[in-house]
Amino acid sequence: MSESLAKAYDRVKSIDWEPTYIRPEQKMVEQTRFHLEGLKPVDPFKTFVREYFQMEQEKDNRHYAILEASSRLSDPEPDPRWMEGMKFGLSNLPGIEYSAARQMGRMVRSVAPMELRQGYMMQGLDEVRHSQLELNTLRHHMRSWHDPAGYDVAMHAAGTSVGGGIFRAMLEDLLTCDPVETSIGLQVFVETAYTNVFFVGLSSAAAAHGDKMMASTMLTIQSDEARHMANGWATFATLLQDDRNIPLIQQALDKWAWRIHTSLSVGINLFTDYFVSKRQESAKEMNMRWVFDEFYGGFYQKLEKYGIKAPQHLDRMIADQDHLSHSAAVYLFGAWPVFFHRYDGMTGADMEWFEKKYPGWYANYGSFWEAYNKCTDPAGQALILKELGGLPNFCQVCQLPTIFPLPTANTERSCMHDGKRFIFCSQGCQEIFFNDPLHYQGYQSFLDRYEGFELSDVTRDMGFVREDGKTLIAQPTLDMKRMWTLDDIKRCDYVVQKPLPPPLVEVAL
Amino acid sequence: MSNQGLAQNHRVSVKLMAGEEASAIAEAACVDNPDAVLEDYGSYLTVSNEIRLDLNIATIAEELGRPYDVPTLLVVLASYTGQVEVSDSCIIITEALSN
Repeated sequence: MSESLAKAYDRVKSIDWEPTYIRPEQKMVEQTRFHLEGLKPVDPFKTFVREYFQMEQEKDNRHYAILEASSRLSDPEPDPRWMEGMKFGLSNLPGIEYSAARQMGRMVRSVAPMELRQGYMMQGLDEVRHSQLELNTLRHHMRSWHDPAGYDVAMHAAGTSVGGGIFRAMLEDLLTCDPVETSIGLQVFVETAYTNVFFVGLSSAAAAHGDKMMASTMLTIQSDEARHMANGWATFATLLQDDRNIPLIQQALDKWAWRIHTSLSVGINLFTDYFVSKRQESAKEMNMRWVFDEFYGGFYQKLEKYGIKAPQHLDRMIADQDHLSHSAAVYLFGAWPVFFHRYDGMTGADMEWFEKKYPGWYANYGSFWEAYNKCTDPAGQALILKELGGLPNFCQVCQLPTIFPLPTANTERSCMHDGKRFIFCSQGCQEIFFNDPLHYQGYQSFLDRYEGFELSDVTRDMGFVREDGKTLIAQPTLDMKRMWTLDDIKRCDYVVQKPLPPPLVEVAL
Repeated sequence: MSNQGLAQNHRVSVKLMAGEEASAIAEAACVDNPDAVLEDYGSYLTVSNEIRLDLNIATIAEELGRPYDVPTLLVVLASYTGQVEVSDSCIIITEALSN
């Protein structure tokens, strides 16, 4: 740290003041259970507001120049599998970023040290910028892609779709948990452990599929994440100074390691393996390198000297890398009529690649894809969802379908609480629920909303219908010659039903 | 930590948005950190090293053939692993929790 920058930074810090007209607890609004009083906060990235705005302006200038250029020059058309998958993929992002901005607002008010507040404040502004960048990408794709249906409803879909529910549940948890815990969930797990795989790794896939707009969006976003990781690290290093925080940190690490594994990580794995046709690394390879080697090996493991242990379900998280994307794909492709993009079923070449990257893949998932590819023509009147036996249960905590790690060998269970039966996808989510039942027990799932509906009524109710009022936005193939209509779905006669609940397990209190 | 498959990792790295500046920063990093490893992933470059990685503005300016500064470097710094220390003349990445 050169003296001039360090000195100037200290001068700026000395401007901070405590208001006299309200009491500290009125100012804080929300109390944290972590101990922060008397600690010497660690400064994250030392950035001044003036520099910050210059930097962000420069990033935007560079990014929007790409948008302008790509709309003027007739670049070759991007890859259809990728562009269609992004209707669902991208729909989730502006809400995630906007929620992160709100999370920063809470933390600015509730986490007192000013060194940290400065970083959170800039992060809050970053998150709004990201949300806008992603909305602009949606708008650009809606105007330039040959089939805009799906991009046009993306923001509405993010709030209603059964896939988006997984991310919504994650965000609501991040927004309503202890405000210091938010830093661990968002800045340590989402941003330090997983955004590299997402924004950096997937940007490379976007570029390979001709989607320059998305590639640039992801990288300009990730360049802000560097500061967010520093915020997480600074918060974390400050907390470690007080021994009373160690058990609280451990509890938060156990929870968020699993919580992000069953939400954001499922999405990243799915997009990486099933929305691409020009294949590079597998989702498993990327996760093993960036999450388990770089984050858990390079960062987390070094917490051991503070008495921090590996997250409770780390072994399962690693073992799950063989299945996460594949089981998620069975669900996403199986439930295609309630989504809003055209799907591209796995071909022989894809299957060969999967078998090479995930030995044993065909034995577990091959029969699904053979069946899927037989159910794509509306004239056949066969709906893959019905062939599969209908929708599965959903987890009360993470809102994933309870088909993990494998649909045929899942870990779903039910437990009684307050005289009611709750369903969970795993031991991890069950533990999270029982540590704070009030936080999760009111959540309603897709099945609570649509039980008893004939499937075409669900699609209509969700608004996933094309301009003609009868053709579905979603289609099981990229082929647009003969598309599925609401009548085609109706003829298949599938009524949404809650499956039988899984067996009850006793909860050790 | 007793879990399977988790080797200790002492590498630190930066990921840079591909382009003229990234190439110059990567070249400069290899000058200042002789053991650094450079990888090209298309839309971004990775430069990694054991324990510590120094990015000096003076060396980058020399590679680029024009003046350069830290805020401009941060515009193309897509990500890093380790602990970052920012000053007027350089960015230093060190192993997290190393002390």
